[in-house]
Amino acid sequence: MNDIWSFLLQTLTASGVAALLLLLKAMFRDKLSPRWQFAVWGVLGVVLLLPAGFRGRYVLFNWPFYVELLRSALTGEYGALARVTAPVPLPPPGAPRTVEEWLFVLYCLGTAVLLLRYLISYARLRLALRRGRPAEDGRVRAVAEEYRLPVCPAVEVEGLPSAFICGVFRPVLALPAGVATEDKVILHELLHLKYRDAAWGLVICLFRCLHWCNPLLWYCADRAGNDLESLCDQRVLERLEGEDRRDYGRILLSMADDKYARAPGTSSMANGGKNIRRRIEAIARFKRYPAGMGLVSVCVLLVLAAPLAAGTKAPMTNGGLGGFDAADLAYARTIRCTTCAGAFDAYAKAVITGRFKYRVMCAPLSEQNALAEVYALRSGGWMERERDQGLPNGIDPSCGYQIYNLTRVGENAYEGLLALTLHDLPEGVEWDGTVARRWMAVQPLRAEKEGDRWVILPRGELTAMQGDVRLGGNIGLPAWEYAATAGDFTVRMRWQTTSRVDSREQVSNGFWTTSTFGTTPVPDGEFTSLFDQILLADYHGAPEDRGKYRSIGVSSMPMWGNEGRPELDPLAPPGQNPDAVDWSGSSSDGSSWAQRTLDYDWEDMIFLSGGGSSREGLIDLPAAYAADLYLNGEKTAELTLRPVEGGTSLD
Amino acid sequence: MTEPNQLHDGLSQAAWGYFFVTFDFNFGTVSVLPRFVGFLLLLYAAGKLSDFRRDLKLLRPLCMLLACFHFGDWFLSWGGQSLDGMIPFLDLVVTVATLYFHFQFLTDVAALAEECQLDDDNLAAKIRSHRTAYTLLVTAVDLLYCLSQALVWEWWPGIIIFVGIITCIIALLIMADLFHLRRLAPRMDSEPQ
Repeated sequence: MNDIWSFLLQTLTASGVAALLLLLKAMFRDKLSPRWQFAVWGVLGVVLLLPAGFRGRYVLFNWPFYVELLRSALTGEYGALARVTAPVPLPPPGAPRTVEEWLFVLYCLGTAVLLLRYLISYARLRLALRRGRPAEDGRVRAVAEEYRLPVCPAVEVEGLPSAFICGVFRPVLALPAGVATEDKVILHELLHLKYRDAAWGLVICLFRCLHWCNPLLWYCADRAGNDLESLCDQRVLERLEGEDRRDYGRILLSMADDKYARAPGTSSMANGGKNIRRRIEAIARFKRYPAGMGLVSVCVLLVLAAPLAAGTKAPMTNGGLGGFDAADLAYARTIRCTTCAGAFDAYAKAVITGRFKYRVMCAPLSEQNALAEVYALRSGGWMERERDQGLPNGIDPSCGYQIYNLTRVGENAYEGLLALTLHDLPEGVEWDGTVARRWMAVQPLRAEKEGDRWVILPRGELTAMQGDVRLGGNIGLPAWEYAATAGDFTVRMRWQTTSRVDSREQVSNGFWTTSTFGTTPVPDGEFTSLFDQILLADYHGAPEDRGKYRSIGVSSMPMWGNEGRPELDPLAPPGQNPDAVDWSGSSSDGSSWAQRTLDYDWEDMIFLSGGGSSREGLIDLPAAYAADLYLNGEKTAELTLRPVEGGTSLD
Repeated sequence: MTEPNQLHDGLSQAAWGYFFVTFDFNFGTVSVLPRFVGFLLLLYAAGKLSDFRRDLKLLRPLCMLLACFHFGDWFLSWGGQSLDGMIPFLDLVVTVATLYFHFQFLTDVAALAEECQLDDDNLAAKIRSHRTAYTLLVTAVDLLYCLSQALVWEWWPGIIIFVGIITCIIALLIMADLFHLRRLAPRMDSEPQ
């Protein structure tokens, strides 16, 4: 927590869980044992320890959205997001200037003061215990032996209202001087010692300090402390029989008027009249819970803890708030693109649909203020402005999008080319059916990680171009190229990848279901990628030598990393057709092979083989290709195709 | 109503209640075997059987809560909506209440079978073991679902469906146990005047 908004987010998230637990505890007050009643606070402990909004998820209520709405409404600043990096206050980066920075300083001071107060009270208590007189520990030992419990040093201190255990690592049993402490009280305290309950008291105090200005969490801390005592009562009662149990209740009743001074790292049987009344009610309900109840208690805890720890992914729509501009904007800003693929997907769908909020989701914080201004002006929205810059109207949403040649360019940065299919030609451009089949809009993009969210930085304008959309590749768009020359021939491999997040949506008309491209972003999506390769050979020998060549064949295999050149299998016709003259093929591992007859009028560029395969995630770029060249049926060269600077395009 | 008849009717309502809770047939988006009917039957059953097993009375508030939730869900289903998943806070309350309700209800029914000496073929032990299996499986489904939301793994849906199918089988066995128990507590005809 490094500002007041992140503290607000953390404490509100915990408050929602606290409210749920209080409700459930009321529901199960007479149904589940004191063990469960105390253990369930562990769920709140887990939520308090996990940073709120972790991985873009919220717990029970969409607090990130409400806090963001409040923050942006009060400050008018969009270039920041409430973000909890740690569940404890971190020092502010500089001297406070604004009201909210001063409030955060106040919060930090409050935490420090309370922590100091607890430390001083603990130190004074230890000092008082040090001044105390070592107690005759005969009775303590007798109780410990009777119930097989551990013992610790005991001291008698003047003026203590009742016995208690102090300390976690070097615990001391403090007894009131001049008063004979009941065996059952000693039993209670020794059980605290055995189960190290003072440590829980310490944890509860720490949470009190962190959330000192949240009365609901203070109330929960009180309840947790009391549940700890109730649990200890339960343990005592499980060890007592008949009249002894009633005696124990009477002792507890006699403590109802005692003063209760809370100190960290201690456990006291007398914890205030109100609390003791609750504990006596619990004793009245006491029964030995059947063994099976342990199972359901654990199951209930697990079923509660898992979704609260994992959180809920915010849905893409903020139903009920649509049309309220500030809410729309704040909502979009809180939906974080948690993957690089999710950011590309959100940007592509922002372009396809023209929806401003999709762009807000994946825009860097530094651009959010400018985007908010555009939004406030309502000058036709975001995408319309882009389209006015020469794009023909009508991106065809049914075709979706592709990110071409996505490459890792840094620790947390990727670059690729966004390609969308257009319905129509740009104005004033004639259709050229000989070159390509579709007109496309392309834009180079870069994805970077900004804190815990991925953002998109356009590296150029969205421009229209003529392309050739085919399955798995586009010969109008750039590709990497590998090449090597042997004699009169250069063997080339053209390598291109396309990536996108699976956005298929099933649409039913009541009778049948069809699959369409869904335009709702998937901010935590992962890429499905496809590589496409084309194997070619170029002749650059003398025209009079062309007659020497009757056939050409190449087999190739990609090389990854620093591995050496592999030995390739001899080029041979496919097994099911051993008499074939021309053949070609490819494998999903990127290997490809082909044999072509060179007729009397063969062209200088010879297409040998093409193909590709899809994978989950991104596809790495091969370091090189191993290729064997066959001329007139004889292997004539073993080549290593190296990347060509800048790649190439076939046209 | 005579005591044996009350026992028979209570067990009958419990068995049919489980039938409605277990089976879910939809006509479009609307269930023709609404779950809230099952919980209402279980509510009546808990009332009738509480004369034989006092602890069952403690379950009535939970049963009412579950009946109300499922009625709300069924009501919304007419408009193609669902209450399930709409409010995470409520979802969690209902999940926990359902888990506890089934466990405690079956525990009480097993104890009742023993107390009323309806324990044919060790039926009480069978109900307890089915109850334990059901509780563990429902917990497993919930945990697996949470894990699948947090961690991406292509096998999650398959595993969840597999565990879900086993859970349904166990629920059917529980239903069969309850009908069996009902047969062991026959209805007594009223004595002639």
